[in-house]
Amino acid sequence: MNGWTGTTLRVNLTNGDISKEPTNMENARNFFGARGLGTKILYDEVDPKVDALSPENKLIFAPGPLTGTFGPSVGRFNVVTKGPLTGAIAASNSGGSFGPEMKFAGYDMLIIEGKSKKPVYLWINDDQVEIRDAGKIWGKEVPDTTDLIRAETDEGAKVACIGPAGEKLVLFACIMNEMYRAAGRSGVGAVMGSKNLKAVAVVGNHPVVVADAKAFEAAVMIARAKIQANPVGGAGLKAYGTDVLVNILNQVGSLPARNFHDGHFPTADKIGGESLSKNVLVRPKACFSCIISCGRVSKVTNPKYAGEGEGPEYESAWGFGADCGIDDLDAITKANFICNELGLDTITMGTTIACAMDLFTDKIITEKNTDGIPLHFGDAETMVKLISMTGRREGFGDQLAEGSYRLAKKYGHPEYSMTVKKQEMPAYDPRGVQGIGLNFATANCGAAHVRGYTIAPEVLGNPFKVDQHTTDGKPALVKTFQDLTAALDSTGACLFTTFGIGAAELAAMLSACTGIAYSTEDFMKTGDRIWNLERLWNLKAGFTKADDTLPDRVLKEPIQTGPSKGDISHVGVMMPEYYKLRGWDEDGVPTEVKLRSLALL
Amino acid sequence: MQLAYFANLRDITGLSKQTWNLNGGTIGKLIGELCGTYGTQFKHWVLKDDGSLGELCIILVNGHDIRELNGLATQLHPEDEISFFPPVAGG
Amino acid sequence: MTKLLMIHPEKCTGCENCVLACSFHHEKDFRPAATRIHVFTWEREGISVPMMCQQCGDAPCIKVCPTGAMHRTTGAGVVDWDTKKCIRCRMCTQACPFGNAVYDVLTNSILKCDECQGDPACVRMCPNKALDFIEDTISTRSSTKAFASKFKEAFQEVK
Repeated sequence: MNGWTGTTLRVNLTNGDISKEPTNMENARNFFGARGLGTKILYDEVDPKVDALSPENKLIFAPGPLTGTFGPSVGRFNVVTKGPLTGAIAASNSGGSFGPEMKFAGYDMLIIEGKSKKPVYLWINDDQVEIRDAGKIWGKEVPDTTDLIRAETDEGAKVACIGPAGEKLVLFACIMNEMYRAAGRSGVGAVMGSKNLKAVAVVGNHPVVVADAKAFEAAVMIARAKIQANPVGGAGLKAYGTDVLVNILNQVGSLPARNFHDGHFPTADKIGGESLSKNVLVRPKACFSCIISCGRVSKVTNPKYAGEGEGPEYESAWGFGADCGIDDLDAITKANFICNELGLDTITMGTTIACAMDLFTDKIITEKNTDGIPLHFGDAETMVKLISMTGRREGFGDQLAEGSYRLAKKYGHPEYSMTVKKQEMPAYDPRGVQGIGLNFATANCGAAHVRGYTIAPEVLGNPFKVDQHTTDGKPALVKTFQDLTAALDSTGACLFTTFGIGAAELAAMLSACTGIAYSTEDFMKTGDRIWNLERLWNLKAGFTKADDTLPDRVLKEPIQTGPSKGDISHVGVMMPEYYKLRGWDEDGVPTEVKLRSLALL
Repeated sequence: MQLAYFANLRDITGLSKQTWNLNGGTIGKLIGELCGTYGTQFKHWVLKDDGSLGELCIILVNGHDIRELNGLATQLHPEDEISFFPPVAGG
Repeated sequence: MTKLLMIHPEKCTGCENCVLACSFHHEKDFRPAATRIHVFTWEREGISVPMMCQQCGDAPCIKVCPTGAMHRTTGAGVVDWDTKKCIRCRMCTQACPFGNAVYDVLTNSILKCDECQGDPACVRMCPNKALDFIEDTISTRSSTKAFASKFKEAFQEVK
């Protein structure tokens, strides 16, 4: 089998059944792997109306056909499931080296069903697969979990695991791999915890084979050269990491501050990539097969927030930083370390704390609700303290563990939650950048930036520049980016390869790898198909066009200061054109004609 | 006017910000003067070999990208704040 | 002049492109267990180190080999492995002080670096210049220079 391994592993934790089945090659052909293939399985096998934390939900780990090869930065995988935070489809993407090792063990997908009576972990030792007792490891943080499981299995095992947060069903708990890489959003870690599954450890000795070795190598070398020639992919990301974005978003007045009360943060420079490089960076790090090295190995020596680990990334630094009115980089870096250790999504964690600070400032909640802890914007020490409480559901942390939407709703003010489909918007102000707002409103997993990263053209000018403040042409731009990303995600490639290459180069590598001739059009159409399948699933889960919008604050309250002062989001203006371009009716439902054209009917 | 430098432009200029007296003119004129002060390393990020605006630089005047204004011919005023970024990204 | 494969672990990001390149060059597919270059990563410290056969001048693997399968052709740099003479006793894997000779079950062969006939694939594919194939006379120059620069900077500050 070329690219794919041809084998899917299915594990039922209720009855302990472990089975290997042939990967459905028609699905593989039409949906590639990773996000696309996982979505197809979820669509076929899981009722969209199930409770995300019930045994009826399934948890799917899936690398792509390119994963495990030496394509540039192609070592990624997706975790696909119903997201507990949102109730929508979740396809959380992660790097590290877990995805490639699944391929070396011989699997295109791991489908986990049911629920174990007691805490267990899965040990995939090439062809031998066992469910093992995790009683002694339950409760441990992510780094210790990784070490303990390796001691019981194989020193070189790649381990995907949850921390205490996933065990306690924190609605935005994540799944970590290789200690510091996260399948972050939508609460996929809570699904794993709800199944009493602590970890999956994998080691393998199968080759990943490509159809045409010579053509594959040639396509890879072309792609590598283009990424290396790109100033961002080739040097910028390695030098400064993603956090370099803080200053540019702030300078264009679209860095959300204090729970989106404003779009500008005067002391942003203290928490940006330049400051990170100077103060906490130890060295860059890469995922398996990556040539970009955006990872940050970091360390805080200040005794108040001392720690070691990786990060923070841009959205994390923003979430604990500007969004909470905080400019203490040591505290922000420590917050990131704690999230990694407990297994928490940094974006939802930071923005949920910001929401709580907002509610407290407006006296909607008081010390009576918060265990006597005052919650003020700018209080770094409290921000850090709240994270440990949330990860273990202690005290007020138990309420934060539900995410900002449920927190704000509980106190009668859901409008304080900066969410779409109950998932928090990340670090780009949709009032200042119109296209990203449309992406937030329509991403199938809830508000998310990577699903259609139009920040690249709208702010960075990569690969071309469009005006961030206009709505003209944005529906088409957003759709293109969303389709490209869906297809790209499904090959196993990293989104950052788009700093250098596009659909053409990805299709070339995929074709030589799999032996199936995909044109650029086929590639983009596959992305469109995956997008529509996600949409169909969400519609069946109960979502409607009413959910394709943004919080009132960004629709009605203009940015207060900075270069985007006075701006609001015009997402409502763009939506009808977006639906039309997508081939959906006025209610955002894919038409029969559209579905037939994608072979989804 | 106030100039601000980011990412590796800080290493090249040795500064994160500075005041500059242009005595009227365009962004093109300002860049010419800055290239004179900071040399070819600075020029590499800001201009192409033919003197046109490089793809490698994001230049903002009061928070607005000059590609949405008048490019190198954008007129500057004494109260303006100009920011210079080399190619940056994240996600 | 002989060329040596030098490592610069301080530049290694743990991406393992070298491992994949080595596997692909020799086997035309991707299997990290089939690699002749091994990368160790310590996650907590964020440090990775690549290791491969050092082509020892006085090689223990050659000394211990009962059949001459491990040998050095006169004048050559590399220690070579002859599959036809090899009896798979695996004494070489035990003799190597660095563990750089490995027995691969799947192909029933001894894996050790052969420098890819003078154009090492790992060096070509490393995106961070952590691997170098360089003339022996100048092989350590960049490391010496990097450290000497620290003295230069210290002395420059002292007026």
